[in-house]
Amino acid sequence: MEQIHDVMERRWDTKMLFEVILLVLMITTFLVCAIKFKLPPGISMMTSAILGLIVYSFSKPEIFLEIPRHLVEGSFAYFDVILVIACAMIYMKIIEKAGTLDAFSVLIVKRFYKLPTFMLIALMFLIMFPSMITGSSVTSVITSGALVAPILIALGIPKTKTAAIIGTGAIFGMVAPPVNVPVMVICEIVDLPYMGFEIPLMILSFPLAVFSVLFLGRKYIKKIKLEELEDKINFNIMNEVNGLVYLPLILLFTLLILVQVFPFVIAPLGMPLIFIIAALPALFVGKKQNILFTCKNAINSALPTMAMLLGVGMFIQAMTLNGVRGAFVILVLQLPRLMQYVAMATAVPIFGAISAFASSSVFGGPYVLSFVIYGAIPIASGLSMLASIGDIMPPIAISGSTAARLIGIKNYLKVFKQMLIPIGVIIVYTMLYITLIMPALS
Amino acid sequence: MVIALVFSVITGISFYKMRNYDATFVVREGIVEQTKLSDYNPNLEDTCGNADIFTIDSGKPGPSLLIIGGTHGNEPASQVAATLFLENATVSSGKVFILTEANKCGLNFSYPQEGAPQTYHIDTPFGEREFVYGARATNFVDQWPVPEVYIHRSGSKMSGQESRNLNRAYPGVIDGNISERIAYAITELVKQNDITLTVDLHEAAPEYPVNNAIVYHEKNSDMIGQIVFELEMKGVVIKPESSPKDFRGLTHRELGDYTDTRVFLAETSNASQGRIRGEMTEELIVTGIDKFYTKATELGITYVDYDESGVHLNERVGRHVATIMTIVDVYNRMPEAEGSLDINNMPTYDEIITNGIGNYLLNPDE
Repeated sequence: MEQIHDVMERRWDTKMLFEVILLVLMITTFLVCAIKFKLPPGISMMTSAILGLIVYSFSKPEIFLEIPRHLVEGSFAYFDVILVIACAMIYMKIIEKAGTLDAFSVLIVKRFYKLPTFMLIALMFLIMFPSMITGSSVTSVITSGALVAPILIALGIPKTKTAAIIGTGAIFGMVAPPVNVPVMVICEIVDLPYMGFEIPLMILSFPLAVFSVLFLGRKYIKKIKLEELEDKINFNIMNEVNGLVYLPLILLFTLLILVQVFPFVIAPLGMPLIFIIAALPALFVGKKQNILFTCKNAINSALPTMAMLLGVGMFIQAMTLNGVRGAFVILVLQLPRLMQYVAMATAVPIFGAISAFASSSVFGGPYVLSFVIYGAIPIASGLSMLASIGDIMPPIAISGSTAARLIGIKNYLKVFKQMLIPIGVIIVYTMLYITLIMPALS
Repeated sequence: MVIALVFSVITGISFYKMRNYDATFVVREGIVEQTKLSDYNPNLEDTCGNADIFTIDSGKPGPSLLIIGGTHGNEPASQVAATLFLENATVSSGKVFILTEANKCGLNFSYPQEGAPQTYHIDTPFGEREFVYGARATNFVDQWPVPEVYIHRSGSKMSGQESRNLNRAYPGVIDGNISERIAYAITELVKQNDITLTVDLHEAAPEYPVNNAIVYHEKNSDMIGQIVFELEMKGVVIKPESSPKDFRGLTHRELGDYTDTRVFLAETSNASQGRIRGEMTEELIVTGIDKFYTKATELGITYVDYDESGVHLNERVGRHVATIMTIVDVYNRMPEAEGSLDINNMPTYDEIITNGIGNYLLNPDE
């Protein structure tokens, strides 16, 4: 293997062959494990990473003993996300048992059932809100997404489309101002202050959000009759609980906003602690529940996603160490100019499937430099949108699969199928936004 | 379960060793004095951020210089250049302060998903000398939780991970997070010693626009032209970059605004911290040879030209040393200079390139 590696080093044309072989090997291993042996995505990713590192160690033997360290180190990148998901799931299950979700559904439907289009758009912006202030799409899915899901389902929107609305809403929230972390990452790379992005990001995300929710949901809720919803929504919930049942929701949104608005007054609590604090009132103000049982259920629901993240972390560490990441990026960047547009529209979301932030970090610098004629702000904003699509791209689809799991859909591909047209529209609109809309507006 | 346990033990030992790695620098007796950052911020006592401050004092009045090395653990030329001053320089007039591990909390772990080796080695006449290859950020074991968005005291917003970046934390907060506490101590070091010149040493990914550059606060506009000219005469082509007023938390902005020091930040090009690089090895850290960056240069997406000979650590360290010496030379000729800062015994850029940095590193075992 060492000799093959040396031969490949002699010419540029074949220099990258070793990395390309590793890339193909890692992807094939993942697919075989996931499809042929039906292993969970996390285990498939881990297997792929281990094989990628072992084969790489044939040419760099000193790496072999380091493989365990690299696998664990890579998975630690998602330590925070895993904690957030675990705590958010506990929060959701507790408030669901307490009756908060039912009460919220009744409140929204009774107020807005006469204005279905407005209600859909308003619910979309409600889904987006937590991501807009935290910059994390998963936050939207597991907070406002979980609130809105029962309403959409009760209104007659199929479960797969409901999950699609929540998944897409979460990524639009991630892109919308005031907080867009992928843009912040790109700004750091290209030495640009995070200023002046508010209006460009609104122009980018708001029209797409309105289109997506209407495309996915409007035809199911042309007219809403309350009496037809009685078997889907528990209108009697307010007889079982009182207004205090909203306390966990109010506390959650208050804490999320306060830590952003008063960062120097309130200690950085961190999302996991915020979820746990916000869940506490539900134990006293809602319906009685067995807290240990609820928590156990919550962790069981979150386990597949958490395991997948560990696998993804190992996979990225392996492909960064063995040069596969660099090969992938260079393969994309050396395409002819016209193909660069196609590559940007496809490679950034595909790499984003591993991590939207990683995709912004890897492609942000080169693409802003390559397409700087369109202006750094539009290109950085557009790239953030393309990278964020990764959060609903299989196999990982962190936001999409979390939304599916929340609603009880085991096969995420059914949800992804519903998203294909919105994703196509997002990509086309984003490319037009970069190349035509923003240049015309400026 | 058994496999998981074995993995835990192996990796646990590896992480523990790195976290407790104690870098050895040669402190020449009678020449170098040693103090701590906690002398300037007691809140750093018993933390990983309590780095050594090395001082070479001529005993004669004159301007003073602070060299900040090791802000980012994955930018080796910064630490090695500072080490070269620590282990070679003598000062016949004025005073020099040196930080070789400005953010020690970024030198005790590897950043996840970078696939980095924990150490790298430099050839010397007495064998290989080991240096630790750390991370850009403070260890999350020492600074956690990480907010989603980091809001600098100026109100400037950055991605949450930047809250762990020492060079986004200036002027610092006495009781803030660990990065802010370190930044506060360094700001106080500058203030309390009335340090005349500060040079913060960094490296950048080749696709980063501020590369092979010197960033200066606007109050140094009267020096920058001469510095760039004199560096070019020494064979060091360098780009002058004015410190952006909206980019907050960095030394060249905050130390310039909040203290009287004349502050500069120097950048060299380091492929090992780039995002387009190929396999991550010790050789890459030292030689800077990377086939993907060679290709990226052909594609026009790097700010520094990478050919097949790479950009060696010798060259990067040589640039930093030359930059510091030139800044001092230029300042000594400024009308405002009261006396001069005379630093001797430092190799030139050409000497470092020709002889290698290993020839100027001392043996820690002696």
